[in-house]
Amino acid sequence: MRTDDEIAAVERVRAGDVEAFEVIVRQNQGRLFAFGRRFFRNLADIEDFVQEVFLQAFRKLGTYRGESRFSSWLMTIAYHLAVRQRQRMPDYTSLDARDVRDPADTPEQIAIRHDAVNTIMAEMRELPERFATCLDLFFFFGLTYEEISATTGHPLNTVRSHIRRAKESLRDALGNQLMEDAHGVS
Amino acid sequence: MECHDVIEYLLDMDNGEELPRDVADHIGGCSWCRADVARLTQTLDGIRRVAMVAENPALTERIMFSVRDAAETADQPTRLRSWIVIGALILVGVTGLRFSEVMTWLRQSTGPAIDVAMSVILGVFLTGYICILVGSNMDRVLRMFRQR
Repeated sequence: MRTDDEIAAVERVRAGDVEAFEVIVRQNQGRLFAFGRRFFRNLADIEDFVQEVFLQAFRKLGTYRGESRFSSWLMTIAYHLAVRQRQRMPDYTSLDARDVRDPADTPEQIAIRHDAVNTIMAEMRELPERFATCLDLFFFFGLTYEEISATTGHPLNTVRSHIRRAKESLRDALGNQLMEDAHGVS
Repeated sequence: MECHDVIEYLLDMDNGEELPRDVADHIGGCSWCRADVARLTQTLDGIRRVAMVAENPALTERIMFSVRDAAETADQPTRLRSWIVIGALILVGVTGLRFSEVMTWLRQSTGPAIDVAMSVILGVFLTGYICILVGSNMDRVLRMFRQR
C-alpha cells in the first residue's frame, strides 16, 4: 500500500534518517514474505530473501522517483531477485489453498475462498511459469496490469489476456458454488 | 448498458480501478449484476487479505540491523575502490622495478637468483594484501556471494 507514512519514511531515509526505514519494513514485510514463500520452502531462505530485498531497496532508494506505487517498486526488486536466484531454488509454487484461512470465516466463506484459490491455481498450472507469476501478482498481491508488465517485462496485452481468462474461470467457479449452495449440494 | 456489457467490463477491470458511472449505475439498479460483482470482488478481497503474512518483529529487527550496517558501509563508498587502486599501483610499481636499471645492475651482480627472490617477495606481498583486503571488507564480500 502506498501510504502517507510510507512516502514520508522514504523522504526521511533519503535525507539520512536510516531508522525511518523501519516503517517501510513493517508495512511491506508481510507481502514480501508471502511472495518469497512462492519461491522458497525453507523458512530461513524466505527470511534471507526478504532481508536481501529490503537491503537492495535501501541501496536503490535514490532511484525511486515516486511515479509508481512504492509497494510495486519493491515487488519489482523482489521479482528480479527471485528470478536471479531461481537456479538454486525449488520450483515456483503458488499459494496453497490451505494458506488462505481466516479464523473469522464462516464455513461457506471458507468453501468459496477455497474454490476460488483452487480455480486460480488451476489456471496458473495451465500457464508457463513466467505467466503464472502474472496471475499471482494480480490476484494475490494486488498489482495492476501495468505494474505486472513493468515488473515481469511481459507485454501488457499478454498479461491482460491471461488474467481475463483466469477471471472468467473464477467467475464460473463462483457461480457454480452458489448454484450448489442454493440446491443444497455439498 | 446491458448485463453482458457489465460482465465484460468487470473481466477486463484492473486492480484499483474505479467503476465508470454507467457501469455503476447499471449495477445499482440490477440485483443480478450486483450479486455477481459482490461475489467476485469480495472473494478477491478476501483472498488478498488473508494471503498476506503478519509482520515478524524479529525479522524486522534483523533487517534493520543489516540496513544500519549497509548505511555505515555506504558512508565509505570509496573504501573498496581505494584498496583496489592502491593495490594496482603497487603492483605496477613492483612489476616495473623488474625492468629498471637497478634490477639490471642487481642481476649482473647477483645472478638470476635475484629474479626468484623478487617473485617470492611479490607473491608474499600480493597474498598478504588480498587477505587484508578481503578481511577488512568481509561484509561486502559475503553480500556479493549471497546475491549470486
